Amino acid sequence: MSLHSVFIIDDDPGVRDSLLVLLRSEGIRARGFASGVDFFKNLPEDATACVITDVRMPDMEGGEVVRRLTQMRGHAWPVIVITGHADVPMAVQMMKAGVIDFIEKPFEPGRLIETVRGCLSQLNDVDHEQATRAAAELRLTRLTPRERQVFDALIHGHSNKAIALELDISPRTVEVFRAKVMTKMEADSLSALVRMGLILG
Amino acid sequence: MQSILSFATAISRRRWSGVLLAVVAVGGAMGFRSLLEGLGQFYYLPMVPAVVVTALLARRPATALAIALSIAVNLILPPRESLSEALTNAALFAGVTWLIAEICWGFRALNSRTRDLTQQLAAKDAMLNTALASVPVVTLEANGDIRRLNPAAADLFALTEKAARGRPFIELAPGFDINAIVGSGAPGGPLEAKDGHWTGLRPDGASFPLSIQYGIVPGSTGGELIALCLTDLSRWHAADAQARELHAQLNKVWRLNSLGEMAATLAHELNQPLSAAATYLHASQMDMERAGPLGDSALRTTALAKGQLLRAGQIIRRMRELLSPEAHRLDSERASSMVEDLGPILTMIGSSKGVTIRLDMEAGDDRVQAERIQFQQAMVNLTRNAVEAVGDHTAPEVVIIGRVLSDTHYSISVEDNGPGIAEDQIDRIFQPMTTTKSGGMGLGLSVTRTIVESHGGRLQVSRSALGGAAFSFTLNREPSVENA
Repeated sequence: MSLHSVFIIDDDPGVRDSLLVLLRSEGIRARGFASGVDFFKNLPEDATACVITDVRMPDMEGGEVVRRLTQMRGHAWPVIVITGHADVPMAVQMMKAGVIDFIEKPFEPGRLIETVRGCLSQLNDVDHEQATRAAAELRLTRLTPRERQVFDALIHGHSNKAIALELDISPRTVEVFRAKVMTKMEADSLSALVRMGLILG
Repeated sequence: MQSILSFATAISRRRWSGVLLAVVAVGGAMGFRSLLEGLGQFYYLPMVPAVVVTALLARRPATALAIALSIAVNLILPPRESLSEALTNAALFAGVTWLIAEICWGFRALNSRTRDLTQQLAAKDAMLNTALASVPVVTLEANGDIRRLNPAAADLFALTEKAARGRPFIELAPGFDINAIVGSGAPGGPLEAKDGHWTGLRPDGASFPLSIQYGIVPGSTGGELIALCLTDLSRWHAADAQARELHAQLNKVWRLNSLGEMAATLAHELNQPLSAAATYLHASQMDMERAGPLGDSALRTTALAKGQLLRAGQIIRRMRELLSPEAHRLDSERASSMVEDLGPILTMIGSSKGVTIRLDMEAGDDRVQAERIQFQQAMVNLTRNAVEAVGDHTAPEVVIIGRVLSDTHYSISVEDNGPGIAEDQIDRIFQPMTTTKSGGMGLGLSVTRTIVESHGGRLQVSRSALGGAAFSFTLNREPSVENA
């Protein structure tokens, strides 16, 4: 189960509540807001989350919600738009604004659930990548300066001989450093080490 | 006669020439008298023509001089029997000749007045002729036959004057009844037709709308009795028909727009509970699935119920697509011309409440991207609202303002000096089916907003400098040829 929340912004209490019931019954954490103003006033602090918003609402239109959210959180907060008042220009405008999906009311709830799940799994991927990166960064700090030099040369694809020449040490010593780096970085193969290097940039 | 008179005028203008004339005339008379000397004594009689000539040609001082000279000559030259006889004769001569001179001057004054009047009359005649040349005029005899018609009238009926003369006027204007004019007793005025206007007939069978003004010629006896002044209404009728056409078009657009708006509102309102219900049902489906085989039957019926709800949604969607106005194509239009074309309709809207609607459209380089009839619909809606808002005002004002805002935008606003829109109402007034008026459906502003948005603008309300509400929006300007 995902730890991410889904936030629902809809001025219609029936729609809001039914969505909360549905998502919660699917085991998804969900929270409702009656308007965009209400949402931004009590803006949750989650680093990543999925947002479902209506378009035609008093106080703040859905388009404005999307614009402000994208500005604040970028792709970390994907948005799904649901509307009872769809037309083609609006759909195009919303998709251009970067929403994940544009669903017309009344919708097949199964489809919405699918979209939400897709959204959440994307967020999970993002999370996974972030976690891997954080771990790799932590391991990197354990390396000694010499080991770090060997690591940098390795992920650039240099051979032991080239590294020995570059660092002015014997190839045998390079072998030793290389084994140490592999152990400290918890890489079981050279390719795993290189992938780590790519993640770290 | 003319030359003598002009000579007299020339003489009377110069004083010295009058004196000279008097001296010469008296001298001439003296010469004439001396010729008659052999026949007997003629005292004053030969002098009379000298005074008359002077009186006719010169002014009073010269005439007095001529009389005085004549008397002096008579007193000095011929021997007299007695002083009293000489004095009496002199006084008589002075009296009689002065009287004659007065008569001469009266004649001269009369003459010059006659000349002035003749000139005035000629000028008036010329003016009348000029005026009547452009206005078709027909004169009728007492029996309704055409007596005369001017060239303009002949042109109007595509007839020659000769062909028309003597024909009954009823042949040119069916339904015309001379007895109605004679019987009305009025000396003149417009002649009312049964169906609003008369119809003129041309020989080729063509007809045209016509208005007739009549006048009974005063003092006419038998012959020429009635003068008819005709106006061809074709052009006026064409303009009227155009306004009617626009009005009908606007009505049609309004019906479609309001239906579309209503459908959209209804769709939106109904879709909310439908989605909520479908979602609730889906949630219970999930619960039943978890309950295992026991829930299977309920699971199926719940799925069916959800299907029906979604079907209702489909129906609503189809209806909305059917009723929503077709996608607008924006053309290049002149903002001022679109508003000015509405003139007759705006006047009609205003006159119902006694409001004059002022147009203040910046006309230069005002090409914008708009769908003409939809834009005009929006303007009519906003103007109607403004007129209703100022209805109770003692000096109601409604003005439509158009301005070039920037290189890319042209702004339009409809402003009034009514009570304006209260702050807490501003959000509400644009919602469909909400109205502040007693007799409205609350669709006007919502339709207007939809139109404005389809033009890429945004309908905004603010306070007008006039004191009331100002509804404004912008149109995208058509890039001008130089900029393109």
